[in-house]
Amino acid sequence: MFWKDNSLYVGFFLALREIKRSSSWTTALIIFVMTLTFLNMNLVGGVLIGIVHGVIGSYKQYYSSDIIVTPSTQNDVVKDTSNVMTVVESLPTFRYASLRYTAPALIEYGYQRKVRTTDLAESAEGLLTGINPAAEDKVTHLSAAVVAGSYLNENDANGVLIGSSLIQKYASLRGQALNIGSKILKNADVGSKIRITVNGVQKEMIIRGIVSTQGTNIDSRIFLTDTLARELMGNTSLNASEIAILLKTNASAQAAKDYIVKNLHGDNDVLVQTATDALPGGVTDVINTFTILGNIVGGIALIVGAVTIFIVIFVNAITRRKYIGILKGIGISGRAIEISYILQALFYSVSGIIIAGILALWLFVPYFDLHPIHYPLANGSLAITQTEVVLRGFALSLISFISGFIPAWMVTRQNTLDSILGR
Amino acid sequence: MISVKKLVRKFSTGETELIALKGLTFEVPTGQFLAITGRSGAGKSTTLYQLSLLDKPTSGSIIMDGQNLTELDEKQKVIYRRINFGFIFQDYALLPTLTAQENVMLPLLMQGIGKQESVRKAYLALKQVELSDKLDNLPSQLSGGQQQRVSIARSIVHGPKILFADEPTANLDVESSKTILDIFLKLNKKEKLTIIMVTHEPEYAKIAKREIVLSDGEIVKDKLV
Repeated sequence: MFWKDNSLYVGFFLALREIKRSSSWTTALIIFVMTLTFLNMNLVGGVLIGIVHGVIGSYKQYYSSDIIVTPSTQNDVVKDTSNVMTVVESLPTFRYASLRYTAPALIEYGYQRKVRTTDLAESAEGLLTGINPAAEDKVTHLSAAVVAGSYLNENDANGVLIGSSLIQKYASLRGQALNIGSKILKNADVGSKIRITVNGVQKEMIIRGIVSTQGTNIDSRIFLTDTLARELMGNTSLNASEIAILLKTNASAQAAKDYIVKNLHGDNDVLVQTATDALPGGVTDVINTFTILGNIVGGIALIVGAVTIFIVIFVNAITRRKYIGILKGIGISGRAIEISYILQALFYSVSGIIIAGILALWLFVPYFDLHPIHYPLANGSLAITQTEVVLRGFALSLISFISGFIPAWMVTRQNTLDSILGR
Repeated sequence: MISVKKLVRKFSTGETELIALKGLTFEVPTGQFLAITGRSGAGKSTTLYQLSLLDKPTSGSIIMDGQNLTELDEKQKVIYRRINFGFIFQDYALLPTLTAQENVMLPLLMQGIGKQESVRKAYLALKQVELSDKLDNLPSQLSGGQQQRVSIARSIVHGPKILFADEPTANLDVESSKTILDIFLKLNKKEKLTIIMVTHEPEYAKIAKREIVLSDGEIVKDKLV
């Protein structure tokens, strides 16, 4: 074993002096490359996973909350909503719930200036969503997503909040691609009078505010008070279309879902889903794809790091082949020489890992938290945790260990005399 | 005592076979200063490489203190060299990133001797070759003669039984060569160190106690000087 013949100490002795007395520019350059490699491992994957987190976060924050109860495919509303709410409110981890009443709606702007019936007004289609503004705000903090104008109040009899996807000015701001003929309100803004048509019933309303969550699901909705919505929809049953439930901090969504399903006994024919369950299939595909891409990019960066270290150590060992022969000639064990090269490889990689880790966790993550990247799907930040950085650091260190060992082993196993004589 | 019996070394290059050593047989008593001389290609260095276990003979044996060294595996050879041999190369062979003192310390550290003791012994070895004022100099900051003296200090610091020197003066001027040979003489006389030196310069061989002259892989002369 190497510790019996002092190989570890001699390897450390040689490595330390090799690093100390080699060109500082070369050392800095190698560490710089390793820093970039480790940043690449973390940042690219982090950005992709950040988009995923943004999508999930936006969906959960403004739509599903922890649990969402919706009607089964056969129904338009949650049957016997009051019974469902009794079960929901008996949940030990229950905090708040928001009942929503939804129906497809057409909104028009500029219809007052139409002279002939064939003249076209600006129009868009969205999902009319009746809410109790206070309850909704407790569950989803929807008021925080109002980017222009103001939030609804409970007694607002003719005000609506419009999703940013439905008004050109705000859709452009959130990076939404607009095609010729897109159904969108081109000139409406906060304070504009619009006409809403639901199930053939029309009503003039005023835009109180614009909601922008970077999630298409919410940003194509038209929010108004539940009383007004039910009146427009002709819903007199008080049965809601969606029930979003916020649980206590750190409560298990799965446990809450199981509790609700169990206590409803299948009587209400509803779909009870956690935020993850409720993600649309397309979003799940995007999440899976981005997760795979993030892992692939991380894997490629790991290989690049391994190759970099291999080349550095291989070139170093090959150019010092003669000295390796001399070391063996004067009785230094091959193991001590290998340890020396492994330690050098680890020095380069660990230095790069530490610098990149500090940059990633204490510079890039806070920066992107403050200045998220705006994607059409959601706001993306940099999804990197300390645990992930440490794990990736271990992976790169392990790869560096192997990449440092292989070339050193290749050179030390050569015939001593051949190495000394350069044959 | 080293006993060499019927030592043969063949080199094969494709279909061509070159016999560098043709069955050398000789003995080197403990404490002897032996010079191996001969023309270029006579087999001097090849002989030295076999004796110092840097190369493996095709056949024959090298027996030291009753042990046949040709039977050792590579790891055993490294350990044997570390403990029993000192080696001086033609081109000094110092590690460029180690100071003179660190170069000399290296064999001691490998033997498991503590750092303080290694530093002390390295200092004494360098003092012996009159380089105690160059402890912290890197090889690039030393002249050729000084580098060779560091190399001598490194080869004797661990108290080897035999010192092998491969053309130690080949790259040195006359003055430096004389200094090196004086050190060898001192080591041989005072420390009773066995020295086996390869040289192609007959006048330097005269300072040894015995000279073996090789020609075409065979001993053509073996005389006490």
